[in-house]
Amino acid sequence: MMSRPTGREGETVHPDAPQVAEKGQDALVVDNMDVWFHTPAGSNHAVDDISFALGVGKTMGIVGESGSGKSVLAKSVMRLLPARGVATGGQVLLCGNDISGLGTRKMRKHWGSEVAMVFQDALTALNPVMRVGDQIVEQIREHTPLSRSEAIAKTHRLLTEVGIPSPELRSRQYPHQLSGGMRQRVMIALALSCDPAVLIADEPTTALDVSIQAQIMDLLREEQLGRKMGMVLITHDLGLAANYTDELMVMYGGQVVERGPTKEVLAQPSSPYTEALLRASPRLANPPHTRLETLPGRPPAILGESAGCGFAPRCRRAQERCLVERPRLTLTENGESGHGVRCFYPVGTPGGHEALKINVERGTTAAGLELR
Amino acid sequence: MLSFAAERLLRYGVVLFLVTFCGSMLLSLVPGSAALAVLGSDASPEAIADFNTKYGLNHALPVRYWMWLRGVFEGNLGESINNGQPVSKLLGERLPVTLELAILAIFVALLIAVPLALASAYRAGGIFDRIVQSLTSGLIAIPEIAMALFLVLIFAVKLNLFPVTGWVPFSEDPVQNLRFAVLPVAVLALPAAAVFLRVLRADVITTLQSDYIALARAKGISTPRILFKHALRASSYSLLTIGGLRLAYLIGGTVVVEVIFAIPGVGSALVSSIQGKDLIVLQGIVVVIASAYLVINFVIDMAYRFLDPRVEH
Repeated sequence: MMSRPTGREGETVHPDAPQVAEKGQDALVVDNMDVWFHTPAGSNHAVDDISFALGVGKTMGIVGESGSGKSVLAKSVMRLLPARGVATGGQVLLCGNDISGLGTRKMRKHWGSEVAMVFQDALTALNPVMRVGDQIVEQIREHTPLSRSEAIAKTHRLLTEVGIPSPELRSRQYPHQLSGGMRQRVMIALALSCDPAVLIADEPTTALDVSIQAQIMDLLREEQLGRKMGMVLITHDLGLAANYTDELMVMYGGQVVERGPTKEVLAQPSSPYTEALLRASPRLANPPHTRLETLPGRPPAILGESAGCGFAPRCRRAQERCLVERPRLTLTENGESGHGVRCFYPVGTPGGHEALKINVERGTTAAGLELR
Repeated sequence: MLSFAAERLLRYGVVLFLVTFCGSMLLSLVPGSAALAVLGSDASPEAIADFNTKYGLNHALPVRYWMWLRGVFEGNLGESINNGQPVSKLLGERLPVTLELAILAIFVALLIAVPLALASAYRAGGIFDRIVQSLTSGLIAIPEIAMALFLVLIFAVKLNLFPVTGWVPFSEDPVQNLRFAVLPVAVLALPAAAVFLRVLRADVITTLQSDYIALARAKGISTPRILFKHALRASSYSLLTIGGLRLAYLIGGTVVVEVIFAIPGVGSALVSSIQGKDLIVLQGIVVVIASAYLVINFVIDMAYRFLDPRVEH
């Protein structure tokens, strides 16, 4: 197993991913991103040293349970986190420009025009007391010299493009008068309105009917390919990630536990956490009424950093070493694809097999988790 | 829509009937009598009997109410027991004065409260917010009468900027009218502004947490525009209710201010008619106050529909 070159605190500086070669042309580069929330109860390391690069026209998937830090990472990349009680570290290059130190005033020209966000629930994310057309016109006029009537015309074109019939009528309606799928299409039109280089989609289909999900995802992919946008797709749906992303990062407790080309990560998961997530997902190949495996325990609250691996208390392979030492993100054996894992005993390696065997024989993991 | 309005009108009619009927019953409990108030305590029993007959005061209460009500339906609110002046004429002179005070006060209060509330809420817990919060606590706690005397002492007596007391009708001299209105309006507006500010600040803080504010931010919209265009409208429902109630309250209740500043409005008429046991005038004022509440309620209901498109009939 190859060891990755290391950066601050011995963590990775993403030198292995293939897109690094074209770093200058990447739509979005994130280096050593850290986010701490300072609360009266203590500091919370919500995003722990995350680095990635998003190529033009590529999609990066970020998966993980609720509370794993996915949305915080996205907001932090966009510099949308509140300033108070939050500390961030690391560098963000958006279209080659360093935006890491920028405050609200300077970020305004990037927001909406270079990086745009599609929120999870369009019903709460669109202003309920503003006509949907006006909400798009507002953004267009903020970033372009178009007149109001030109902006309205562009809004109608955008609404047509995202599949909304009779845009003149729809743009005069309020969010609550549209269906869920229609609202999400409006939000996508809004996000696309100023031709951003990067689109961050935070669970864009979670609030939607399953039958609408595929339509919205297909629309997003079509627009992304047509416009050569980079897209960050945050989801907890592995099926969605499998179908719509090029690269995948699996997050747990604010850290990346596994990353690499989506196909490879899902076909040969290396992290016990990724494996557990896959086992918990339903598969069409399984017979009906197959019982899904559940993951025992809860995600860590991340208050106060533990010495060992964050997943150890819930991991079937946890050994004594996992409790006292934190693993680094290292490349797997076929690491030339950029497939990395943060585990001492990865799935599919002799070491991982041995660790599981030891735990099964003694009936419990080093963290005290009972194995059946 | 028509049936909606008709239903409202019917309901308001019932409310007005109940308010005036109960009002007349309660007002008759006021000790003393109009005859004694007008004729003096040494009036002869014959004079008192004549007086009571003249104004129908010797009839039973419900009968008197019925007589008054019949008059109302004929467009006649009756005549003052104290001086024979028609009540409608008296209200016609007094109501515009009080309306001017009340509307100006609410307008000024909103002008102060809205920008301060938005600024406080934007940096809730910050130094500006804490200063504003202390000021509003003070303004709410100071009694109207103390504030009135304090403002008169400083701005009228010491600085001589505004007249101490008195009133010039707007129709006579608009500029003088506004000069006379400044201090009374300030006394009415400042506590109202403090209440409005608190209510609006709390709602804006909640609104600023919502996803659509985060989206507005992510669109690159400027902070003032986010506050005024996105946050204010969605945070204004409680303010609308409180503001409307305050306006109605002022229309019936600028008593202290009108007495201190010697302003000939509804409030001072209320005081003098109570002193004179002038039940007919009082009844007229009750009608005005109750109507003000009803009209303002109706306007608020309509305004909700305008402010929040999600409200359906």
